Formats: sequence, C-alpha cells, structure tokens
Amino acid sequence: MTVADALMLALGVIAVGSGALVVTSAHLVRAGFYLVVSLGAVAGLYLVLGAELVAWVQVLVYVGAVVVLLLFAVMLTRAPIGPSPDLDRPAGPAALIGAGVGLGLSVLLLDAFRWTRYDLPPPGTGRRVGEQIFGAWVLPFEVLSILLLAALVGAIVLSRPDIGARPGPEGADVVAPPSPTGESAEVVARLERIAARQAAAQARVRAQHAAEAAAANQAAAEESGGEPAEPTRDDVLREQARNVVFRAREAGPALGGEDPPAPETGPRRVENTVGEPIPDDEQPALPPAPPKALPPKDTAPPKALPPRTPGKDEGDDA
Amino acid sequence: MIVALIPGVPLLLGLIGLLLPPGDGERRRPAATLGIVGAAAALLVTLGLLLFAHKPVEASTHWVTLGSVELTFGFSAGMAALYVALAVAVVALCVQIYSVAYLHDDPRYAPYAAQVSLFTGAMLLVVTSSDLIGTLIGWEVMGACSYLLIGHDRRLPEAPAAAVKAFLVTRVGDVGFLLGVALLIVDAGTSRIAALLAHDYSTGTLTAALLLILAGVAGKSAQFPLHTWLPDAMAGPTPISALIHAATMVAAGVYLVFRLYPLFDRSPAALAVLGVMAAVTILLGALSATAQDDLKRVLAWSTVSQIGYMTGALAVGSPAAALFHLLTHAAFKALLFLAAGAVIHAVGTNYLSRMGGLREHMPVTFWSFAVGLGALAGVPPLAGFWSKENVLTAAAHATEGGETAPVWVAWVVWLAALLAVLITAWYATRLLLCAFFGISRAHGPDGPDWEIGFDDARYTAPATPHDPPGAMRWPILLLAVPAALLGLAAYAPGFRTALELDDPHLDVAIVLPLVLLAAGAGAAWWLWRAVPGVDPAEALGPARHVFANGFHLDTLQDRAVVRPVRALAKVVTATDERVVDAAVEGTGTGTTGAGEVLAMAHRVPLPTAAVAVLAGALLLGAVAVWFGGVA
Amino acid sequence: MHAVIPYVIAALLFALGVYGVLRRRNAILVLMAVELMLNAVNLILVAADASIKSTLSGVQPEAWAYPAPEPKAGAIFALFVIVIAAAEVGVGLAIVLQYYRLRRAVVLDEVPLHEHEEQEAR
Repeated sequence: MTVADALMLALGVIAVGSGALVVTSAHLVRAGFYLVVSLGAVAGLYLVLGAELVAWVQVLVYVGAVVVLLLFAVMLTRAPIGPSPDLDRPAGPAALIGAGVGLGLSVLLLDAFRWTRYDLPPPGTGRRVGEQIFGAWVLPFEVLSILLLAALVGAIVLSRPDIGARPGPEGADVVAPPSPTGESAEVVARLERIAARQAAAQARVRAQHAAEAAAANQAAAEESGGEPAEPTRDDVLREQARNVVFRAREAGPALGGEDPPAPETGPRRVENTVGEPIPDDEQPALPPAPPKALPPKDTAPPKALPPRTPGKDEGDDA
Repeated sequence: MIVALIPGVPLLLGLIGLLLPPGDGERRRPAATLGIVGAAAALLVTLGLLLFAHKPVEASTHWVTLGSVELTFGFSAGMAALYVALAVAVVALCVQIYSVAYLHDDPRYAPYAAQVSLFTGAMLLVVTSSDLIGTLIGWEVMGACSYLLIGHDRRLPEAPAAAVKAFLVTRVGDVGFLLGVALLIVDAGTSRIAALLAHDYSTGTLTAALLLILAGVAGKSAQFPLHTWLPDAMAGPTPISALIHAATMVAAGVYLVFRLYPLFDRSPAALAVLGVMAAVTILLGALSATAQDDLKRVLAWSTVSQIGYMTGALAVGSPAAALFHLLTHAAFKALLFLAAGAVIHAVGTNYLSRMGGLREHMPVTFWSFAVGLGALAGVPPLAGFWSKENVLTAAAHATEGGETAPVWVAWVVWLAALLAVLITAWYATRLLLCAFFGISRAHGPDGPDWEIGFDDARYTAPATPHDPPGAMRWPILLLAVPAALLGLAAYAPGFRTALELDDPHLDVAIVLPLVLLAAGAGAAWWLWRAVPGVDPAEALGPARHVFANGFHLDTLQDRAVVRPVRALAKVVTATDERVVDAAVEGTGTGTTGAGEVLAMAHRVPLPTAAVAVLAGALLLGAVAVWFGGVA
Repeated sequence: MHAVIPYVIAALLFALGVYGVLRRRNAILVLMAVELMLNAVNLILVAADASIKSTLSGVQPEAWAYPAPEPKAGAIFALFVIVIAAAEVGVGLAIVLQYYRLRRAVVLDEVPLHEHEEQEAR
C-alpha cells in the first residue's frame, strides 16, 4: 500500500461514487455536475498513473467542453430545474446487466492482475507523446482529424433544418413559423393580400346580416301592426348586442373564411391599393380594407407593395 | 401380309372415323360408310382366306428387342381363327348396318360408328395376332372401346356408372392378364405364341402364369367372380350389347384360352380352377336370368351362363367344343340382341312387364326371336343344340377320366351344364311368352303412358308396335340363318377339321338333355298356362329377389372391395392433405411466422434493443469465460 | 502501485455506464452514461500503459511507423478516444436537439422507429 495506491483508491471512490450519482440522480442538471466530478476524479487518476497530458486534455475537453455542451443541451431541451419523476425506466434488467458487467469485468481483472506490484512510471512529458503521435501514429491522427471534421459538418447539417430538407409531412413542423419582419417583400405582400380579402369577406357578411335583420324587423312590424313599441325596444337591444358582438369580432384576429356569394350588384372591379385590376371570378367586391385587419407587424406600407400578377394570386390563395 | 388386313382395315377406318365431326343428317353418311366398309372389308378378306387358303396364313416381322426378349409383330390365321374372325366380321357388319337405323336420332353417331370399328378391329387383332403383345394391344383397345361404347348414351343416368364399372372390373382382371403374359414372355424369351406354346415351362411358373391369365379371362369373358360388369353394361345401346356379348369382348377370353390351350393342357390346377369357375358361372348366370324383368338383362345373364359353357368345355379338355359353342353362340346371341333391340325400338321400354302380345304385330321379330331362343335353349336342330351337345358329351367323356382336368371337375361341369339346360329352357320359354304372347301391357288404358328418348328426340311409343325398318330387319334375318343352321356345319368335314371337332354322333346320351329341355320349357309353359299373363317368375317366390339381384354379388363386391378401397383412398387423401401438404405449408407459414417475430424484434424501441445488445454481450462474455476456462 | 486498483475502478465505472444507458430515458442522460463508459475504457488504457511494459517489446514496428512506436502507447490511444468521444457528443447532441425541435421531447422510449413503414402502409 503506497501513497499512489491510497491516492488512487480515494480518487476511485470519488469517481465511482459520483458516477453512481450520475446514473441515479433525479435532477438532470445535478447529473451533469456529478459527471464533472467523476471525470475530474478520473483525470486525477491519470495524473497518478503518469499520463499528465491525458489528464489535462481530459480536464479541458471533457470537463471544459463536453460537459458544458451537455449542460447546454439540457437547457435547450427545457429540462426542469427540480427533480424529474420520469427520468428512469424500471431498474430490473438494467441493474442485472450492469451488475453482471461490473462483476464480470472486476473478477476478470482481479484474476488477471492479482495484487501485483508495478513500478510507477516516470512522469510523462508532452514531448514523448508528441513524438509518438506525429511519428508512429500520424496516420490515425489524420484519420481522426477527418472524423472530427465530419462530425462538425454533420452536427451543423443536423441542426440546420433548411439544409437538405425534403418536403414531407415533417416539413411544416421543421420550418419555424414565418415572421413577417424577416420575410421578403413578396411574402409580405401575399400575407397582406390574404388579410385584406379576409377583412372584406367579414365586412360583407356583416352587411348581409344587418340587411337580413332589418328585413325581419320590418316584416315583424308589419305583421304585429298594433304594438310596434315593444318590438322596437327589442330591436334596439338586439342591434346593440350585435354591434358588441361584431366589434369584438373585428377586434379579434382576422380569420380566414370562404367568401360567401356577394350580394352586390355594382361593378366588380375594385381598386386595390396599387390599382391592380383583379379578375372578376376570383376577387369579389372589396371595400377598402381596414388597416387593423392587417398583420400586426406589417412594416411595409401598402403603397410600397410591388405589383402582382393574377396567376400569382391564385397560387397564394390555394 | 393379307391377313393383316383383317384387323387393319377396321382399325384404320375406325381411327379415321374418330376424326369425323359428330352431327345429324348428311353428316352421318360418311361415318356410316366408313363403319360398314370396315366391317365388310374384314368380312371379305376373311371369306377369301377361308375359301382359297388351304394352310394357315402367317406374316410376321421383327419389331423390337427388349433386353433378351424379342418382340415380333405378327399375324397368323389358322382355320379356326378364320372362322372366329368370320363370326366377328359378320356380327360387326350386322351391327353396323343395324346401328344406322337404331341410332337414327343420335347426333353422336359418328364417333359411335368409329368406336364400333375400332372395337371390331381390336377383336380381330386378338383373333389373328400370332404374338402375345399384339393380343395384349387388342385386348386393351377393346377395354377402352367398351368403356366408350357402354357410356355412349350419356343422358342415361346409369350409363356412365356402368361404363366405369365395366372398365374397372375388367381392369382388375387385366392386371392379372398383363402379369401372366409378362411371366410367360419373360420365361420363354419371346412373345411369339407358337414359340410360347413349344417352350418348356416349370410347373410353378406355368400354373402361376395361367392363373393370372385366367383372371384376365374372367374379367373379359364375364366369369365368376368378375362377371358383375356385364349385366350393367346393358346401359349401352342394344347393338353394342350384341357386339360385346356375341362376338367380341366376352368371346375374347374364351378365344385366348383356346389359343393358349396347349399350355393349359399341361396344368391341371389351372384347368380345375377354370372348371369350377365355369360351373359356378353357368348356374349363376342361368339362375339370375330366370328372374330378370329387363329383356336385355335376361339376355346378358344368359350370355354369362353360355360363356360358362365354353369355359367349361375348355376345362374338360375340349377346346373344339368350346369354339363351336362360341361360334353358334355368336350367331344366336347377336340375333337375340338385335331382335331385342327391335322389340325395344318398337315398345320403347326394356321391361318385360310392359310387353306382351307382340307376336301378331311383329311376326318377323317374333320368329327371329323364337329361333334365337330355341338355339339358346338347345332345341334340335337349331345351332345351340349341336354345340351344347358337344360340350355335354365332352364333359361326360371327361368324367371317365383320361383328361388333364381332375375327374371331379368334369363331374361338376357336367352336372352344372345339365342343370343349366333345364333352367335355360325355362327362362327362354318365359322370355318368349312374356314378350310375345298374352295381351299387350305396353299401354295403359288411356294409350301410351310413357315416352321414349330424351329431350331432343322424344316421342311416344307408336300405338301399334311393328316390325323394324329394313336396315334393322335384314341383319336380324341374316343372323337367323346361322342361328338356325350353323349346328349342321358339324357335318361339314372342312368345318370339322378346321375346329378339330369330333364327328357328331347322336346316341342315347342326348336323351337326358332333351328331357331336361322339355321339362324346363314345359314347366314355364305350364305356369303361364295356369295363370295367363302372369310372369312365370312369380313362382320362384322369395328366391326371385335373390336371382333378380344376381345373388347380391354386387352388394357383396361393394361391401368387400369398393368400400374398403374408397376408405383407403380417403385415408390416403387425408394423409396427403394433412401430413404431406401440411408439412410443406407448415414450413411456409412457420418461416413467415418466424419472419414476423424477427421483424417485430427489429422494431422494438431503442432501449429494449440496447438491453438486448448489452445482455447479449454479457452472455457472450460469460460463455467465453465458461468455455475458455479463464476464470 | 497496485495496478488492480485502477482496473477495478474502470470496471465499476463501465458497469455504471452500462446501467445508466439501460436505465435512463432521457437522451442526454444516456449520453452522459456513455461518457462514463468511454472514460472507463480510457482509464484502462492509461492503466495498461503504466502497468504492462514488456508485452509489446519485441513486436516488429510497421513499415510506415517512424519512429518506431514505443510500448507505452496507451496514453495516445486515450487521447484518440477522447477525441472520438468529443465528436460523438457533438453529433449526438445535434441529433437530440433536432429531435427535440421536432417532437418537443427527448424521451428515447417514444422514438417511433417504424413510423415510415406505417406511413407507407397507409
């Protein structure tokens, strides 16, 4: 039992203990920090075993980069801060296999090395390792650098969904919700047009409802004849309620809807903001679009919209 | 090579006729021409040879060598063979002519005529072949043609079954025949009959081969116990019955035994079997004939019985008597069947219980029938009397010993034959009385009460039965001549030497059969006389049912053979389906199932897969340690 | 020094890694457990570097190797493993994050492996 043994035992206890916590902890973040401790203890073991360079690389790469990366991932996946109850699945088979592996390897190694003493190697130098790497092991080294490059490119491709994305059922999910601010002028114009059309449709429906209500009122008044006062009061109340309802709807988000048949008889040609004529069959009469029906972040003023072609419009509507 | 024309022409014309399109009207003419020309050519060649050839005609050519066995393809026609061929050709010609009228409403006449030609040619091949292989070929072609012809009228419900039955029952015998022929040929190293007859067989081989051949003979010649197909074969058209019964198929077996008689003469065992078979068949056929209501079945059972006479004559060592009886039987049985066809044609039914009183309306048919039945029963001086007398004399002679067959066999045959004379006379008289005498039972009180024919050719029976048209009448009349007079040919020296027949000598021995004949006929007539119009078979009492069903041998065969074989077939089928098939299909489904399981295993969630991989690694490590002995 | 100590520590760490891989449902935690296993291997390499000196002596160096490799190459292999582990973590986390974007979940149990087949079947 030498000092080295004692050191290794202590560091080993730390490494194994914190490793056990890594795989059992109910806190995601804590598991990451336990991993730091475990890897650090292993780095200490490397030091004791005379592999200084490995130890420092361990600290730099593992503790400094890998674990930090893992913690970033924990954050990016919105892991909860507290304990998570559903981190684990039933322990039975895992414990069985883990215990089997640990026991088997331990027995194997114990049987292989017994309590044999070895001389501690002299503290290594970076020079020796460097000579070896760039001399005897230069080819694996280069292959590894290519591997790193490939991993780098792969990681980038994986995290950028717009690279090599295929149209498919997942495509809609992959594409982030478009924001008008960042979109091109064409897209903005398309959105604006859709909003204007929706607003027009809503206004038309409102007018129709009002006309129907008026006709109904009149008919009721003619029928009842003798007592027009009370229905009138009711009508007033109804009118007020309707106003409240429709205003609320106006204030709400502009929802798309199918255009009902237009009751209008006037010329079905309406000047849009840029004076572009719109085909009759496709575009019903359109009163001036209320600006509040436009998307809230509409930065481009309507007059700056570029002219469009009817064919393009059809495609947009679809 | 002229002798090859005898079977060759009908066979060739039959094969050509098979190519003719079936149909009615004008299209019948070429078919009828081919059939009649074939039979007539065979008849002419035979007649020419009979008249101008003074020694046996032979022609043969080497055919093929199978191993050490030489097969030849040859024809030879001794005088006896020529007489048989003559009988065959005459009957075939009559049948062909008769069929033209009898099947006047049958659209499938053309194949029928071609098949009759083939059938005739095959029989002539059996008769004239000097080689057992040729005989075998003719034998098999006859079996196939009999199947086709019996099943000709496919609309009859019983015809296909009868055809299948005839084919299968004769096939059972043919298996034995084939094996016996093979045994003979292999042992002798040649297939030439002359060489076979001269070859010296060991007793065991000879007896085995002859017994096997006897099985084939029993099948073809309708001998007990393979006789059951013959009465059912009545489902075929009546001319076919005439052809099968008179000259061709049933005669083939007898003729074959005659041809191979020198071999049989060396084997008492085979002759004893033949004799017992003959005795049983004689009585069985005669007794069964007594109670039949179907006109054709009476004749069919009488055929069974008469063939028994022939085989009996062979068994007691008198092939000449057998051949003589074969010839006379060919004449009167063909006559009887053709006349029966005329009766059926006129009345529209097969049933004796619906006939009666036909004598006045159909005199020609009546007299022909009377001649035929007289010959059948053995009334002197008709043909059957002489030939049957010969058989009886031969059997009686054999009872004194000195023949190959054991004496007791001769006694059995002689007694059976004598008894059968009595029975034959009885049923012949009954047949004649029921069909032609008394009042007509052909019609109900309101006129005809059944129809003849099938959908496309249905007609009601004519109110008054009448003699058949010319094409049917002339063959009947033609055949009546030999039926009446052929027996006198025994006095013709040429005929006698050809058949090696003894001189006819009428002595006191003929009294016994004549007395029996008179007793039988008288008994039937007395029964008829006592209660006119009632079937004399009523007097048989409870035995009638047994006789009518042929001693229930059909049922017995059904129970003992058909059903076990069917059960075995079912077992085999079930084994095939459940074991063999199931093994194959089970392999398929099992593989598919295993594939499904594996596919499921490939789709398990990642964690389960990881558990499996690591557990597998652990297990492999453990195994390595265990067997490597590391720990 | 008794070499058995780091070896057994490595074996136990590896066993813990196996346990973690099998037990955890969260993909990130599984990656952490994989790191543990890799470290156990590294530890064994370094320990072997320190303990087995003579095993490789006498082995002919490869023609391309200059200078000839020394027996003590375990540390170098450990470095290589660290590099590979870094690459693995990089790609693995990219996959996890991408999956999280698609599914809002990082639970391995719910990864549909045969979704593609089901779509084809439909």
